[in-house]
Amino acid sequence: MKSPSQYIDDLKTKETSIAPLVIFRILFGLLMAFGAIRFIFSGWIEKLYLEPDFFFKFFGFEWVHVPQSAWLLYGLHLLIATSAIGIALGWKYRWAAILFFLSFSYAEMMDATNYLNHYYLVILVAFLMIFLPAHRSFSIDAFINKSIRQNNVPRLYLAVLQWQVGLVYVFAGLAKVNYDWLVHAMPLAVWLPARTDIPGLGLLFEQPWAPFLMSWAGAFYDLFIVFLLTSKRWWKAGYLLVIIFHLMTKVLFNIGMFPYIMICFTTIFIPVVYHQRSLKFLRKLFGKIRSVTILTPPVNASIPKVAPISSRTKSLSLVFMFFIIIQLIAPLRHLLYSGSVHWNEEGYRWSWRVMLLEKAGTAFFTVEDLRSGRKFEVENDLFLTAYQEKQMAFQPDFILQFAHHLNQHYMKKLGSEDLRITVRSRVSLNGRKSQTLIDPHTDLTKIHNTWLKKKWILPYEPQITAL
Amino acid sequence: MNATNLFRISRFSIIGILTLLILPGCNDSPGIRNQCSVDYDQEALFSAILRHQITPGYENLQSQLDQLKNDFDALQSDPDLANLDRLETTFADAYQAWKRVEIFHFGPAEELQAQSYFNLFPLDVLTVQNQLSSGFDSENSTQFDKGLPVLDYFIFHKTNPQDRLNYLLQSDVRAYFTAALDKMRSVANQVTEAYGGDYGDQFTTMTGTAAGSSLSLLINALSKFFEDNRRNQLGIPSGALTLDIPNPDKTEAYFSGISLNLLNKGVETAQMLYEGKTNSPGIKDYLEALEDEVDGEKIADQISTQFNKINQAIPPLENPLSKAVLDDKNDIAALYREMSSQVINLKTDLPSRLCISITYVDNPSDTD
Repeated sequence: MKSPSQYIDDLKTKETSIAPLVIFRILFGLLMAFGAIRFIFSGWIEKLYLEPDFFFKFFGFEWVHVPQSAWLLYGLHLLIATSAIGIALGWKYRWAAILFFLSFSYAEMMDATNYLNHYYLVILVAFLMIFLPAHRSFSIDAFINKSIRQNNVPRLYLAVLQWQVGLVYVFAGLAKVNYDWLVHAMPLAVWLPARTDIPGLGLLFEQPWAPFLMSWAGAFYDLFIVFLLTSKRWWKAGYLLVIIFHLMTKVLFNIGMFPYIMICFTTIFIPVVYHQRSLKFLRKLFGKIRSVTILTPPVNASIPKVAPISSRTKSLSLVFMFFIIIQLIAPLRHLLYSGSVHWNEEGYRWSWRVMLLEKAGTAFFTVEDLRSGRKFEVENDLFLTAYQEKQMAFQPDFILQFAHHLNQHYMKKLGSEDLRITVRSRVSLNGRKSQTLIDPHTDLTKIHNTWLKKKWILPYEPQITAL
Repeated sequence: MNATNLFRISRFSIIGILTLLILPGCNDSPGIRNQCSVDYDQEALFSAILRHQITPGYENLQSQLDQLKNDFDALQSDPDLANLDRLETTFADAYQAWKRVEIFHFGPAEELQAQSYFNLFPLDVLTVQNQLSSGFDSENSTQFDKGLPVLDYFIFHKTNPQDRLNYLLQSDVRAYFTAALDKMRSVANQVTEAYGGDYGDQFTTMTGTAAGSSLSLLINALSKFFEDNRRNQLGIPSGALTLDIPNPDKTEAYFSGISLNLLNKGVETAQMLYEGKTNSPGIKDYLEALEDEVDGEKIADQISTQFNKINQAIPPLENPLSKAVLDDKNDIAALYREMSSQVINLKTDLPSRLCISITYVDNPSDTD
């Protein structure tokens, strides 16, 4: 067993083949380009960004604006696709990676209603890609500029990706170690019977014990898959499980790119020699076309030198370490808030709580003009799409944002500066009887969103505990 | 066999044994059970709702509409006030007959857009007046210009009975009236036919809780019907949803003034779908069977209690609603509050407990 400092030292001093990074770069770029093009052709740009009049924001990113122009929105997604292709080709790689990171992040922050954990993962990985030397082999950049060519890289670059992907699984697994998931098989007990139409598997999902089998299997998978993948003996079984598990979730749920993303991202755990073979194969493939032969400098040609640690590696290792530490702390930040994270959602996002809850809610907002005494209820669907309303009804920070929006709207409309806005909200969590989420007496116009405990969220009784 | 192999085998067998232990335990112990699955004959429930609610409801609607047609023809050939009186009574009956089936907004009714040909209100009177000269074309109409609301206007918008009679005898009114009525009759016939045929069989056999199963259709229909009634019958006319400014002219059946009857009928219909009829089960029976096996607070009776609270909040209201929303604000507000509580029960609690998702709020994109 190595000591942590020895482990970190090794990451900086010992080198490994660049091949896994190159493969990762290509897969990442192609997948993201495909994702962006799929998004463009799905009609979601109109549905998600042109039809709604109001957009929910993430804390601290309220400034993100949704351009109300089809040209700009399609342009943004084309930019995502183009920069992703740039990443895949290794063409002006750093610029492509920076552009991809910025454009993709911006697109995901336009409406927090559409928050998906796997898009957050893409944002994190895209950030890391900016610093990775993934373009120093088998790329247009390396073809043009011989001086950047490199066959080996410090292990650090591989390790940071492995840590990032690995901690997603482990935290997703820990989140599943909770009473509802294990003892009640919720919410899979709701979701599986809805898919009994699938040929073959459907018969399985009809069984009353099927959700239990799947819940436990899912928890075990998430908790331990990384340990299988990093084991020299078990990695093949591990990767096979990755493929089976994610394809299964693909069949079961409407989760879009997520299965492909994880199947591609986990290649980073596969032993280096397989990446080298794949690159050799690609080189042969491209070798048939004369002009691009030179694109592919022989892989594994030189023996790794034990090079002195460059200052670049030194500083990047600090950046990566800081990055990973934040990633290790962020999913646990909910422990700082009293009450259940499943109920109040304080610290719920950015924490790999994937497919964990089935929630439904109703929220009736009342506006009261304190000057005229006029009091009325709001028709939410005048401002929100059905999906936005559904998401808003159980997310306290969305309820607050919407109340503030209503305040602005009705101050103008009524010509009054003294409004009081309250909400009557009930939320049902994993099939339980609904409870009141927001204190119905709190004037939401007087509340501001902060990192502090939201006292205007009523606690769930009895307390639900979760990791 | 060496030690490593032994270790490997024992590791797998432990996992295997644990799995075997857990699986049967799930079905027996009271704490660990699938709270979405219950031993209840769904087909019997659907068949009862079909035989005792949907089919008689549509057959009654058919005959009321035929009667309306007869009464209207009789009035045309023999224009006197007695015939007008008969027409007016039949109209009220037909409207209430519609209210009984309006709730079943899925399957053939949804396909044929029954709702829009029967009862989109408030009526767009200006459009109707403009269309009178050119004639009504049911295929090209998209406005609030048809169905029971336009008949309501034709029959009742004049105060004096003799004026009403004369108005109905105008040829353009007669043509418009007949076209709107015939369209409704044709839709009602087609829906009834569908339930008598393939769709009826399909409806009884679509078991399970998936989107598209009959249980999901019924729960979604109940929830949406009740939510829409709360909004359209009360929320908008009373001003509760419109800046506290009442809109008495936006009440249902504004001209005939049978809005309160219709409100009553709507609540009654929703309650009937939920509780069933004498000797015929409703959704509540299924819910009770499920809740009998689940820990935690039950909601089956809570929903019935809430229906009763609503029923008690209706009688104090002045008839028609168009007057009540102006003169009876407190009683209206009280009823609105009770109906809102029921929306929460029907839209949030009921589907959650039954493990059904509200499909009319669908996810446009991916989830995770």
